[in-house]
Amino acid sequence: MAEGLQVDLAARAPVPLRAGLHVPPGQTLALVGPSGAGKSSLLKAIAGLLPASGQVRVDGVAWQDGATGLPAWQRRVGLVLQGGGLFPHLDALGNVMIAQEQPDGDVARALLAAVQLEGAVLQRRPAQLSGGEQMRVALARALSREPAVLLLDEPFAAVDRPVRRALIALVARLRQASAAPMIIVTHDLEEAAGIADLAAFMDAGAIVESGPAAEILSTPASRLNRWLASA
Amino acid sequence: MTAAMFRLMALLLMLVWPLSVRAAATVPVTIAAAADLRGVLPVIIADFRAATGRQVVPVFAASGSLTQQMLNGAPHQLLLAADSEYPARLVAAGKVAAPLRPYALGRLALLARSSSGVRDLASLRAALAAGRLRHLAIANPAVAPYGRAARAVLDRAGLTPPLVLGENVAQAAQFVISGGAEAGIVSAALARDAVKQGGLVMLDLPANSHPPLVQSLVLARGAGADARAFAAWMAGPQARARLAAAGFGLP
Amino acid sequence: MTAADATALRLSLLLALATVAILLPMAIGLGRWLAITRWRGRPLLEALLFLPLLLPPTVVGLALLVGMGPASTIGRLFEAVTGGRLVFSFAGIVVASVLVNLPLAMQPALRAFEAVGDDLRAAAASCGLSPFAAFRKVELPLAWPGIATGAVLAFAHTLGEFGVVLMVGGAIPGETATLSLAIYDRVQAFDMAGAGRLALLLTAISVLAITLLFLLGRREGGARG
Repeated sequence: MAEGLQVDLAARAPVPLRAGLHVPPGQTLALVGPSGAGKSSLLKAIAGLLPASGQVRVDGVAWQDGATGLPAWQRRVGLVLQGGGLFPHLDALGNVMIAQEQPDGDVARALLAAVQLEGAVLQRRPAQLSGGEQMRVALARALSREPAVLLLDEPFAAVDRPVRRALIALVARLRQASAAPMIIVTHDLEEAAGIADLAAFMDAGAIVESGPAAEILSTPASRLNRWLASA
Repeated sequence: MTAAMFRLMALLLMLVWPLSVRAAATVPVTIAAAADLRGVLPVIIADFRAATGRQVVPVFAASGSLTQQMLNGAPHQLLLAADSEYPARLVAAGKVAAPLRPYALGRLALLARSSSGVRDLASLRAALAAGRLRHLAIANPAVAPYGRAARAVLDRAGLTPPLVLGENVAQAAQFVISGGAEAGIVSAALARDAVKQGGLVMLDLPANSHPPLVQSLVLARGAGADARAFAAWMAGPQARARLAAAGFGLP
Repeated sequence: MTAADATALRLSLLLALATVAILLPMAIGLGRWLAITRWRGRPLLEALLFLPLLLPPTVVGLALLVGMGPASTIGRLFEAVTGGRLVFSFAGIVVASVLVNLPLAMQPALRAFEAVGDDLRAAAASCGLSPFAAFRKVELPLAWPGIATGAVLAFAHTLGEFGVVLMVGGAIPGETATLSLAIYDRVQAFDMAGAGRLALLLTAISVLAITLLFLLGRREGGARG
């Protein structure tokens, strides 16, 4: 049963965090909650970018055990932060290849093709790409590591509605190719409904409610829906 | 890109190392010389070289500065000062071995721009009274014996012009040449060189208008053969002739 | 140009090159550490490192004469190891030059490393880049223009160094008599024409060197890093 992503973490800064969740392989969890609830912090803590203590196990391998944890760069995580975090001095292809253990131009190009980026656009730097294109590159880069866990932090927040739909559809398609558990932080419930198998509501540093997405989203009395109604 | 950068840094280091080794290998024998010798010393050194084949290189500054440097470990092998007090300090500090040897008697001169109308102390006084003299240049008495002597001349004559102080007596002369000061009291030797620049006049000041400037030399501990030979040369007839021709008195 | 002037020119270039060669790794190392560290003493250290630039050159020169002179601990150590003096030597003016130019070289590098930002460092780690790989492939290329600016500033400043070099070096021909000191010497020897020629030469070289260094700093990494 210790398969997929198991998290039980506590952290102090920037938000006091005390959260646990479990995402089985191949499944997607939508993490929802008010600003400042600690969603980004939780993702960073799982990725090893934030000092934390507790348990993070991925397919049985301990990334974090008590106070000791693997350094971030040794965790096979595919991370997409808000804004993409693309390296400005590399072009699209370079950004994808830098995350590969064995740089392979063909594999990188294939990944970029999978996110519908081909041709001259591969030679462009992030500054020359649109918001949507940057996100696609960020996704391709996250996948190029063959990650054990995918963490997306509001990846579509900065793009326009029509672009967002296209990107959500893209992510849904990519999910079929990868068995990695995925957590996606989002404010958009349409997104959540579209691709999430599980949903969790986070507030003040703790997971207050979690379960199958369909169930939580369709129950008006759920904490999540009550929060949405009050917003 | 990063490789290019490391290559650049390696190139810089490789350039620096062999060049610096070469620079060290060619350091000549340096002698510290008071600034008033700027005109006459290169000529004396040329004579010395022609006669003995030996070479020394002068470093010019005020006697006080040179003494301070040698007290702090500067590698000069010989000090040709503009007085006897500074060499005496080096002896007292144990930095130099041989006794002091006077090699010349310093003389002062008034150096003035032709346009200032200053030709002697009387006209200097008149120009001061009329407000036509804005600056009189002398060497800084704190570090230069010629500056102290110039001050003595002024005191004895009862003159208090606005002064501009040169770091050494050559700089004081330079102030007059460049026009920054209308007149100055500098070494006679330098004044002779200065008037060659044109637009200037000079007047030798009598030896009794200031305490004698007994210019002495002293050898550093461990001075080499070249420096010792030059010290001896300075007492010889050729050097003395050059000094006299330049306007120095002879001991 | 006389042989003595050629030597002075070579010394000036050597001094500037040596200073930059030593300062580059220092500026990179210190600049990056200061940019990242959360140490509470950081502002104080930054201010201290700025000091040599604010102090009058004669004050710095005096401090160095006393601090590395033959009577000092550092001076004695140097003499024990190399047999030579630190003051009035080329090594001595290199030390002086490095000290005086450290703030000039380090500040732009520090700002450049700051500008990289925590987000990109996090992204690098999440891409599997070890701290050293992240430094080499992400931070250094991005901070390079700032680092190069610091190097250029230090180089240009060193070429013009006068007060500190004179006090610590003593203007010894072939050892510490740099071109800027040679210009001063020409003036004192009533040779304004010669001084002017040397000044022109020094200016030309400074402009050339700075242009070259700017070009080097401008060239960004290839598309694939």
